[in-house]
Amino acid sequence: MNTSDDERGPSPSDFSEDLGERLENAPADERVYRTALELYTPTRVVEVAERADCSKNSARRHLRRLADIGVLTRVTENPETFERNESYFEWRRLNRLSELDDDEYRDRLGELLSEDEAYRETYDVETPDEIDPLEYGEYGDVETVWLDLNNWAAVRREIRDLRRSRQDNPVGEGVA
Amino acid sequence: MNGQHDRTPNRALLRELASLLASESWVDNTTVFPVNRPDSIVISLERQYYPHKYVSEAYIEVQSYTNGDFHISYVEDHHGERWLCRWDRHDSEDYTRDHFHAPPEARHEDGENREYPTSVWRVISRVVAPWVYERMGAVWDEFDS
Repeated sequence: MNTSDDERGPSPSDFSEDLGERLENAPADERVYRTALELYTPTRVVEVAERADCSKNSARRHLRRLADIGVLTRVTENPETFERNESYFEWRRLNRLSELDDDEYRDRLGELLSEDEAYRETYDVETPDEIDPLEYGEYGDVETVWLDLNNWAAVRREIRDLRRSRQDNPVGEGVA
Repeated sequence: MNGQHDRTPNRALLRELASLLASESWVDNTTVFPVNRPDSIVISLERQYYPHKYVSEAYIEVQSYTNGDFHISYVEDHHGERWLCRWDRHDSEDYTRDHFHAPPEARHEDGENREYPTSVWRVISRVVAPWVYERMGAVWDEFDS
Protein backbone atom coordinates (compact mmCIF):
# COMPACT_ATOMS: atom_id res chain seq x y z
CA MET A 1 0.00 0.00 0.00
CA ASN A 2 2.80 2.41 0.87
CA THR A 3 4.75 2.14 -2.34
CA SER A 4 6.98 5.17 -2.66
CA ASP A 5 6.18 7.63 -5.42
CA ASP A 6 9.37 6.57 -7.21
CA GLU A 7 7.74 3.26 -8.00
CA ARG A 8 4.53 4.85 -9.13
CA GLY A 9 3.66 6.50 -12.41
CA PRO A 10 0.82 7.23 -14.80
CA SER A 11 -0.81 4.46 -16.80
CA PRO A 12 1.61 3.22 -19.49
CA SER A 13 -1.16 2.97 -22.09
CA ASP A 14 -4.55 4.49 -22.89
CA PHE A 15 -6.89 2.11 -21.08
CA SER A 16 -9.99 3.86 -22.42
CA GLU A 17 -9.34 2.36 -25.87
CA ASP A 18 -9.18 -1.12 -24.37
CA LEU A 19 -12.43 -0.55 -22.52
CA GLY A 20 -14.15 0.59 -25.72
CA GLU A 21 -12.89 -2.53 -27.49
CA ARG A 22 -14.04 -4.81 -24.67
CA LEU A 23 -17.55 -3.39 -24.96
CA GLU A 24 -17.60 -3.58 -28.74
CA ASN A 25 -16.16 -7.09 -28.90
CA ALA A 26 -18.48 -8.59 -26.28
CA PRO A 27 -20.83 -11.33 -27.54
CA ALA A 28 -23.99 -9.98 -29.20
CA ASP A 29 -26.30 -11.25 -26.45
CA GLU A 30 -24.29 -9.30 -23.84
CA ARG A 31 -24.34 -6.15 -25.96
CA VAL A 32 -28.10 -6.43 -26.42
CA TYR A 33 -28.58 -7.08 -22.69
CA ARG A 34 -26.55 -3.98 -21.78
CA THR A 35 -28.63 -1.95 -24.20
CA ALA A 36 -31.85 -3.52 -22.88
CA LEU A 37 -31.07 -2.24 -19.39
CA GLU A 38 -31.38 1.28 -20.77
CA LEU A 39 -34.69 0.87 -22.65
CA TYR A 40 -36.65 3.33 -20.52
CA THR A 41 -39.20 3.95 -23.29
CA PRO A 42 -40.60 1.64 -26.02
CA THR A 43 -37.77 1.21 -28.51
CA ARG A 44 -37.72 -0.35 -31.97
CA VAL A 45 -35.54 -3.31 -32.86
CA VAL A 46 -33.62 -1.31 -35.45
CA GLU A 47 -32.54 1.19 -32.83
CA VAL A 48 -31.42 -1.51 -30.41
CA ALA A 49 -29.47 -3.13 -33.27
CA GLU A 50 -27.75 0.17 -33.91
CA ARG A 51 -26.94 0.84 -30.26
CA ALA A 52 -25.75 -2.73 -29.66
CA ASP A 53 -23.92 -2.76 -33.01
CA CYS A 54 -25.42 -6.04 -34.23
CA SER A 55 -27.76 -7.19 -36.99
CA LYS A 56 -31.47 -6.55 -36.72
CA ASN A 57 -32.18 -10.28 -36.68
CA SER A 58 -29.76 -10.86 -33.88
CA ALA A 59 -31.15 -7.94 -31.87
CA ARG A 60 -34.71 -9.20 -32.37
CA ARG A 61 -33.82 -12.73 -31.27
CA HIS A 62 -32.12 -11.54 -28.06
CA LEU A 63 -34.83 -8.98 -27.31
CA ARG A 64 -37.55 -11.61 -27.62
CA ARG A 65 -35.67 -13.90 -25.30
CA LEU A 66 -35.29 -11.10 -22.73
CA ALA A 67 -39.04 -10.50 -23.05
CA ASP A 68 -39.69 -14.24 -22.53
CA ILE A 69 -37.81 -14.25 -19.23
CA GLY A 70 -39.46 -11.03 -18.06
CA VAL A 71 -36.58 -8.53 -18.26
CA LEU A 72 -38.34 -6.63 -21.04
CA THR A 73 -41.93 -6.07 -22.08
CA ARG A 74 -42.91 -6.24 -25.73
CA VAL A 75 -44.98 -3.07 -25.99
CA THR A 76 -46.17 -3.17 -29.61
CA GLU A 77 -46.02 -5.94 -32.20
CA ASN A 78 -45.92 -4.03 -35.45
CA PRO A 79 -43.44 -2.47 -35.49
CA GLU A 80 -42.02 -4.50 -32.62
CA THR A 81 -40.97 -2.33 -29.66
CA PHE A 82 -39.54 -3.26 -26.26
CA GLU A 83 -39.02 -1.54 -22.94
CA ARG A 84 -37.79 -2.47 -19.46
CA ASN A 85 -40.22 -4.41 -17.31
CA GLU A 86 -39.86 -2.40 -14.11
CA SER A 87 -41.83 -4.89 -12.03
CA TYR A 88 -39.24 -7.55 -12.89
CA PHE A 89 -36.41 -5.32 -11.57
CA GLU A 90 -38.43 -4.45 -8.47
CA TRP A 91 -39.00 -8.15 -7.81
CA ARG A 92 -35.32 -8.86 -8.33
CA ARG A 93 -34.39 -6.18 -5.80
CA LEU A 94 -36.77 -7.36 -3.09
CA ASN A 95 -35.69 -10.92 -3.73
CA ARG A 96 -32.05 -9.96 -3.26
CA LEU A 97 -32.81 -8.09 -0.04
CA SER A 98 -34.82 -11.01 1.32
CA GLU A 99 -31.82 -13.28 0.79
CA LEU A 100 -29.68 -11.38 3.33
CA ASP A 101 -29.10 -13.49 6.42
CA ASP A 102 -30.20 -12.14 9.81
CA ASP A 103 -26.80 -10.65 10.69
CA GLU A 104 -26.35 -8.94 7.33
CA TYR A 105 -29.88 -7.61 7.56
CA ARG A 106 -29.43 -6.23 11.09
CA ASP A 107 -26.02 -4.71 10.32
CA ARG A 108 -27.17 -2.98 7.17
CA LEU A 109 -30.39 -1.72 8.73
CA GLY A 110 -28.49 -0.43 11.78
CA GLU A 111 -25.97 1.44 9.66
CA LEU A 112 -28.71 2.89 7.47
CA LEU A 113 -30.62 4.10 10.52
CA SER A 114 -27.51 5.91 11.79
CA GLU A 115 -27.03 7.49 8.35
CA ASP A 116 -30.64 8.67 8.49
CA GLU A 117 -30.10 10.03 12.00
CA ALA A 118 -26.97 11.93 10.92
CA TYR A 119 -28.88 13.56 8.05
CA ARG A 120 -31.70 14.59 10.39
CA GLU A 121 -29.13 16.29 12.62
CA THR A 122 -27.33 17.96 9.73
CA TYR A 123 -30.46 19.43 8.18
CA ASP A 124 -32.56 19.68 11.33
CA VAL A 125 -35.68 18.26 9.64
CA GLU A 126 -37.24 14.78 9.66
CA THR A 127 -37.27 14.07 5.90
CA PRO A 128 -35.47 15.47 2.84
CA ASP A 129 -38.77 16.60 1.32
CA GLU A 130 -39.21 19.12 4.12
CA ILE A 131 -36.51 21.32 2.66
CA ASP A 132 -37.74 23.70 -0.01
CA PRO A 133 -35.50 23.71 -3.11
CA LEU A 134 -35.41 27.51 -2.83
CA GLU A 135 -33.61 27.05 0.50
CA TYR A 136 -30.88 24.73 -0.78
CA GLY A 137 -28.52 27.67 -1.12
CA GLU A 138 -28.62 28.22 2.63
CA TYR A 139 -26.80 24.92 3.13
CA GLY A 140 -24.10 25.33 0.47
CA ASP A 141 -23.85 24.85 -3.28
CA VAL A 142 -27.43 24.24 -4.49
CA GLU A 143 -26.65 21.23 -6.63
CA THR A 144 -24.39 19.60 -4.05
CA VAL A 145 -27.15 20.02 -1.47
CA TRP A 146 -29.70 18.53 -3.89
CA LEU A 147 -27.46 15.50 -4.46
CA ASP A 148 -26.88 15.14 -0.74
CA LEU A 149 -30.64 15.18 -0.10
CA ASN A 150 -31.01 12.63 -2.91
CA ASN A 151 -28.63 10.39 -1.05
CA TRP A 152 -30.58 10.88 2.15
CA ALA A 153 -33.77 9.89 0.29
CA ALA A 154 -31.92 6.82 -1.02
CA VAL A 155 -30.97 5.85 2.53
CA ARG A 156 -34.62 6.10 3.59
CA ARG A 157 -35.81 4.13 0.56
CA GLU A 158 -33.33 1.39 1.38
CA ILE A 159 -34.57 1.25 4.99
CA ARG A 160 -38.15 0.97 3.77
CA ASP A 161 -37.33 -1.72 1.18
CA LEU A 162 -35.24 -3.72 3.64
CA ARG A 163 -38.10 -3.77 6.12
CA ARG A 164 -40.55 -4.61 3.38
CA SER A 165 -38.39 -7.57 2.43
CA ARG A 166 -38.90 -8.97 5.96
CA GLN A 167 -42.43 -7.72 6.50
CA ASP A 168 -40.81 -6.11 9.52
CA ASN A 169 -42.44 -2.73 9.73
CA PRO A 170 -42.76 -1.60 13.32
CA VAL A 171 -44.88 1.47 13.90
CA GLY A 172 -43.21 4.65 15.07
CA GLU A 173 -39.68 4.06 13.90
CA GLY A 174 -39.63 7.12 11.76
CA VAL A 175 -39.34 5.72 8.28
CA ALA A 176 -42.59 4.43 6.82
CA MET B 1 -33.26 19.62 -10.13
CA ASN B 2 -36.74 20.28 -8.82
CA GLY B 3 -36.64 19.09 -5.22
CA GLN B 4 -37.92 15.63 -6.12
CA HIS B 5 -36.00 12.70 -4.71
CA ASP B 6 -38.14 9.85 -6.00
CA ARG B 7 -35.99 8.60 -8.86
CA THR B 8 -35.52 4.82 -9.08
CA PRO B 9 -31.91 3.70 -9.42
CA ASN B 10 -31.08 1.46 -12.37
CA ARG B 11 -29.48 -1.12 -10.10
CA ALA B 12 -29.18 -3.85 -12.72
CA LEU B 13 -27.19 -1.52 -14.97
CA LEU B 14 -25.00 -0.33 -12.10
CA ARG B 15 -24.18 -3.91 -11.04
CA GLU B 16 -23.35 -4.84 -14.61
CA LEU B 17 -21.16 -1.76 -14.99
CA ALA B 18 -19.33 -2.46 -11.73
CA SER B 19 -18.60 -6.01 -12.77
CA LEU B 20 -17.31 -4.84 -16.16
CA LEU B 21 -15.01 -2.23 -14.62
CA ALA B 22 -13.76 -4.49 -11.80
CA SER B 23 -11.37 -6.24 -14.19
CA GLU B 24 -9.95 -3.04 -15.75
CA SER B 25 -6.23 -2.36 -15.21
CA TRP B 26 -6.88 1.19 -13.97
CA VAL B 27 -9.46 0.07 -11.39
CA ASP B 28 -8.38 -1.04 -7.93
CA ASN B 29 -11.77 -2.26 -6.69
CA THR B 30 -15.49 -1.61 -7.01
CA THR B 31 -18.16 -1.29 -4.33
CA VAL B 32 -21.81 -1.81 -5.18
CA PHE B 33 -24.39 0.18 -3.19
CA PRO B 34 -22.32 0.98 -0.08
CA VAL B 35 -24.46 1.66 2.96
CA ASN B 36 -23.69 5.41 2.98
CA ARG B 37 -24.36 5.68 -0.81
CA PRO B 38 -27.19 3.19 -1.44
CA ASP B 39 -27.89 4.38 -5.03
CA SER B 40 -24.26 4.35 -6.18
CA ILE B 41 -21.42 2.20 -7.32
CA VAL B 42 -17.97 3.41 -6.32
CA ILE B 43 -15.00 2.60 -8.54
CA SER B 44 -11.69 3.05 -6.69
CA LEU B 45 -8.90 3.84 -9.11
CA GLU B 46 -5.48 2.20 -9.19
CA ARG B 47 -3.28 3.91 -6.57
CA GLN B 48 -0.09 3.15 -8.50
CA TYR B 49 -1.17 5.64 -11.15
CA TYR B 50 -1.20 8.59 -8.71
CA PRO B 51 1.61 10.25 -6.74
CA HIS B 52 0.69 9.39 -3.17
CA LYS B 53 2.15 12.58 -1.73
CA TYR B 54 -0.35 14.54 -3.83
CA VAL B 55 -3.40 12.26 -4.19
CA SER B 56 -4.22 9.87 -1.36
CA GLU B 57 -7.05 8.21 -3.30
CA ALA B 58 -9.20 8.69 -6.37
CA TYR B 59 -12.56 7.20 -7.29
CA ILE B 60 -15.50 7.44 -9.65
CA GLU B 61 -19.04 7.33 -8.31
CA VAL B 62 -21.85 6.41 -10.71
CA GLN B 63 -25.57 6.93 -10.20
CA SER B 64 -28.03 5.95 -12.92
CA TYR B 65 -31.82 6.19 -12.80
CA THR B 66 -34.71 4.70 -14.72
CA ASN B 67 -35.81 8.12 -15.98
CA GLY B 68 -32.51 8.28 -17.88
CA ASP B 69 -30.77 10.64 -15.42
CA PHE B 70 -27.21 9.96 -14.38
CA HIS B 71 -24.46 11.52 -12.27
CA ILE B 72 -20.88 10.38 -12.76
CA SER B 73 -18.46 12.00 -10.32
CA TYR B 74 -14.70 11.85 -10.44
CA VAL B 75 -13.11 12.60 -7.06
CA GLU B 76 -9.49 12.95 -5.97
CA ASP B 77 -8.68 13.17 -2.30
CA HIS B 78 -5.70 15.50 -1.86
CA HIS B 79 -5.08 14.35 1.71
CA GLY B 80 -8.28 15.84 3.02
CA GLU B 81 -9.13 18.32 0.30
CA ARG B 82 -11.43 17.08 -2.45
CA TRP B 83 -10.81 17.84 -6.14
CA LEU B 84 -13.81 16.82 -8.20
CA CYS B 85 -15.88 17.14 -11.34
CA ARG B 86 -19.14 15.58 -12.56
CA TRP B 87 -20.80 14.47 -15.78
CA ASP B 88 -24.57 14.89 -15.43
CA ARG B 89 -27.74 14.07 -17.31
CA HIS B 90 -30.78 15.62 -15.63
CA ASP B 91 -33.18 18.51 -16.20
CA SER B 92 -31.71 21.80 -15.12
CA GLU B 93 -32.94 25.37 -15.19
CA ASP B 94 -29.54 26.72 -16.14
CA TYR B 95 -28.00 24.05 -18.39
CA THR B 96 -28.92 21.57 -21.09
CA ARG B 97 -29.97 18.14 -19.85
CA ASP B 98 -26.45 16.84 -20.59
CA HIS B 99 -23.83 18.97 -18.84
CA PHE B 100 -20.54 18.88 -17.02
CA HIS B 101 -19.55 20.47 -13.72
CA ALA B 102 -15.93 21.47 -14.01
CA PRO B 103 -13.22 20.84 -11.41
CA PRO B 104 -11.94 21.59 -8.86
CA GLU B 105 -15.26 21.96 -7.02
CA ALA B 106 -17.98 20.94 -9.50
CA ARG B 107 -20.33 23.57 -8.12
CA HIS B 108 -23.63 24.33 -9.81
CA GLU B 109 -22.16 27.48 -11.32
CA ASP B 110 -19.26 25.50 -12.78
CA GLY B 111 -21.64 23.85 -15.26
CA GLU B 112 -20.94 23.63 -19.00
CA ASN B 113 -23.46 22.40 -21.58
CA ARG B 114 -22.53 19.11 -23.22
CA GLU B 115 -24.01 16.43 -25.42
CA TYR B 116 -23.22 12.84 -24.48
CA PRO B 117 -23.83 9.54 -26.27
CA THR B 118 -27.30 8.09 -25.46
CA SER B 119 -25.92 5.03 -23.70
CA VAL B 120 -24.24 5.22 -20.29
CA TRP B 121 -21.86 2.48 -21.49
CA ARG B 122 -20.58 4.82 -24.17
CA VAL B 123 -20.48 7.79 -21.82
CA ILE B 124 -18.16 5.75 -19.61
CA SER B 125 -15.97 4.35 -22.39
CA ARG B 126 -15.88 7.38 -24.71
CA VAL B 127 -16.16 10.35 -22.36
CA VAL B 128 -15.21 9.45 -18.80
CA ALA B 129 -12.44 6.87 -19.27
CA PRO B 130 -10.47 8.98 -21.82
CA TRP B 131 -10.83 11.98 -19.51
CA VAL B 132 -9.54 9.97 -16.53
CA TYR B 133 -6.57 8.74 -18.57
CA GLU B 134 -5.70 12.35 -19.47
CA ARG B 135 -6.17 13.45 -15.89
CA MET B 136 -3.85 10.76 -14.53
CA GLY B 137 -1.09 12.20 -16.72
CA ALA B 138 -1.90 15.80 -15.75
CA VAL B 139 -1.76 14.93 -12.05
CA TRP B 140 1.92 13.95 -12.44
CA ASP B 141 2.64 17.27 -14.17
CA GLU B 142 0.94 19.20 -11.37
CA PHE B 143 2.79 17.17 -8.77
CA ASP B 144 6.19 17.66 -10.40
CA SER B 145 5.77 21.39 -10.93
